Amino acid sequence: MSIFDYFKPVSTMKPDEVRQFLKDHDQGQFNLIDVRQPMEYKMEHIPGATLIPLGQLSEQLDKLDPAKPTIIY
Amino acid sequence: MEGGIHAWNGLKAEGLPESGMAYFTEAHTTAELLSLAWKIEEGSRYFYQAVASKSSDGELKALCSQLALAEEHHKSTIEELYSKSKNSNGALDIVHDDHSEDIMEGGITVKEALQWANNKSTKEVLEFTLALEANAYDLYIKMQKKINDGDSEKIFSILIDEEKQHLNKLAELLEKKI
Repeated sequence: MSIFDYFKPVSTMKPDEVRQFLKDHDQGQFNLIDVRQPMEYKMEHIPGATLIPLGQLSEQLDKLDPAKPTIIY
Repeated sequence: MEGGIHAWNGLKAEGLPESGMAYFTEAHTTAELLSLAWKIEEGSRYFYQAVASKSSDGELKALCSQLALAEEHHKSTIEELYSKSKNSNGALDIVHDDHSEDIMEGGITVKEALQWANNKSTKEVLEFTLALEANAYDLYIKMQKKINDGDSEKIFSILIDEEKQHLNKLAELLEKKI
């Protein structure tokens, strides 16, 4: 068995699909998370995104509503 | 979201080796899970060492050298604790000198990652390595949940804590370089 057999593809969304998704849903219907660094978030971010830097994701999971779809960038 | 903020802004991704792959639960035994962890540590060690030797950024060089040493230490930890484990039935499937199938978390080969990293900025390399460490952190949490023996859980606890520290170190340097 090759080591590659332990991995499977993960589905992702293209930016246009995300734009359409955001257009079709109200803000409270999804989690939109920016996992970059605070300085990058300050410089620009997708409107409505919540900042949770990657290194802090495990401690801030309570900011996510597990019942709603989550988009991460 | 594929391509991150750059793609959102309409910029073409510069071939960032986004893995698009996740570990799945084909591995069942302690030996299989730990062999997979060992191989990922070896792939990461090889990557960090190569980046450290090629980078002209002193701080990136120093951090990658430190991380390469840490990954080497992780491999020894896995081997040592597995040999002492009550559940060490069968040898770990590891080959020390064969880099033909070196892989990093997310199913990316080390060769692909190094090709991509060539001539990339410190910020780009740091963003990529942050994603890798976060994936490794996530992978070890999943492996720990899958394993049901105290000795092996201890191995994964050590790896999880240390991957978290790596994440923090990389994030600190990235914040400095933005």
